[in-house]
Amino acid sequence: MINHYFNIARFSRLLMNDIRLHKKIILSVTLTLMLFVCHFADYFFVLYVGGFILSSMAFSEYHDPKRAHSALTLPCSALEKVLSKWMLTSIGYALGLVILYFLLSIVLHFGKSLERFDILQPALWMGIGKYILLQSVVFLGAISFKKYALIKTALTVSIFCAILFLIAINVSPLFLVSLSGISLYYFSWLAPVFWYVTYLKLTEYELR
Amino acid sequence: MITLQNLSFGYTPKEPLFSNINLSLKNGEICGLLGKNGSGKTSLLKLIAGLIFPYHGKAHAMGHNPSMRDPVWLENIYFLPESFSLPDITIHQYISYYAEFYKKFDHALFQSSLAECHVAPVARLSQLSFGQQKKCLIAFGLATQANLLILDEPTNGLDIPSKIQFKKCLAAHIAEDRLIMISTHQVHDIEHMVDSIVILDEGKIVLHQQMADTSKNIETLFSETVS
Repeated sequence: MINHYFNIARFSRLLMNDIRLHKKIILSVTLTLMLFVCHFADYFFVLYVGGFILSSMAFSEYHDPKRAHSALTLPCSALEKVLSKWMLTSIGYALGLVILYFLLSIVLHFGKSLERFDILQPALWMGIGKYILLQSVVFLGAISFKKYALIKTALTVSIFCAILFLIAINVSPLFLVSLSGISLYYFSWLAPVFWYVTYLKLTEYELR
Repeated sequence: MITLQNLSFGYTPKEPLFSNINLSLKNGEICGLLGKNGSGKTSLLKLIAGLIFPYHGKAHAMGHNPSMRDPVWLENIYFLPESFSLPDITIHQYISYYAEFYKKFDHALFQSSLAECHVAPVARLSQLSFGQQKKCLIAFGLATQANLLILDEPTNGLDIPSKIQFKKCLAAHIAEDRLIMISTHQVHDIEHMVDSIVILDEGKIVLHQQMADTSKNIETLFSETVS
C-alpha cells in the first residue's frame, strides 16, 4: 500500500529530474543575487530572496497548460511530487547554498579580507530553520496562484497581517507585544499546516 | 477497459459540458473519438486520464478511479496532448529522465519507432519541429507499453507520410490488454484504422458503434449523426 503513496526509488528519480531540469534557473537566480549584493558574505539575503523567488515558481509547470499534462500524469504520487519540490526549494536550497558559500570562502580565501564562512555558527542554522518555516507560506502560494505567485502571496500575507494588527490593537496593545514575541512559535505550528494544504491542493489540481 | 456511469462535468457549475453520459470501452481495440470543434472530445479524454474531475457520476479506467492518480495506475496510461512544450534536452536525455518511471518501458521499441520516424536520438527536443516532437512522444507512448493510450488529435502537425506511418505503428501495437483512444476532428485520418467510433455532439455521446457491425464508412456515419 505504501507504494501507492511513497516509493523511495521513484521519489529519488523525481528529485533528480527536478534538479536536472531546474538547475539553470536555480543557478541563475542565485548567482544574480550574489552579484547584486556585490559581496559573497550575505548568505541570508540570497537564501531568503532567492529561496522565495524559486519557491514561488515551484509549481510553474502545473500552471502551464502545455506542460501540466506530463507533470500530472507522471507516474509518481502527489506526496512524492510535493516533497520533491519542497526538498528542492526549502532544505535542499538552503543546504546547497551553505555548501556553495563554504566552497567559495575556501576558493576565494575570504578569511583574508572578510570573515570566513563558518558553517558551525548556531545563528546560521537558526536562520535556516526560520527560512524553512517562512518558506511554507510561499510554497502554498506557489500552488494557489497561477501567475505572479510571489507578489500575490506577499499581498495576501500583508492583508492578513494588517487585519491581525487591527484586531490586536482593538483587543489590547499588550496582546500585540505578546504576539510579536511568539510569532515564530506559532509559525512552527502553522508551517506543517501550510505544507499539508499544499499537498491537498496538488491532489485536487485539475487541468482546466 | 473504460466505464463511465452517469458522468457529469462542466467548467462552470451553471453550464455543464456533459450531463449523465455513459460509455463502456473494452480492451484490445482502437477507438476513434469524433466530434466537431468544441464538442468536448479533449475534456472527455482529460476525464478518463484524471486531469479533470467529474462533479457527478463514476469513471473507471483500467480498474481505477482516474481522479485518484495512483502512480501504479499512471504507469499504465499514457496521454498525448494536442499541444505541449518539451524541455530543452536531447531525446537521449529525455529517455534517461522519464523512461524509468514506466516499469514496462521497451527501449528497443522506442529506438525502432524513432528510426521509422527518421528522428535522430541525439537531437535536442526544442530544436525539432512540432511534428517531429509529436512523433517522439508517440514513440515514447508506445514504448511505455501502457494499457491505455490516449491520443488527443495525434495527427495534427504530421505530414502525409507521417500520418501513414502513424497508422501502421498503431495497428502494429494493438494488443488484447491495450486500449487506444484517438480523438480527432479529421475523419479521414482514422479511416480503416479504428475498431469502434464514439461520436460526441454538444456534450452528448450520440453514437457508439463497432465498425465491424456496419457497412458504412466513418465519414458517412459522422455526417449522418452530426448535423
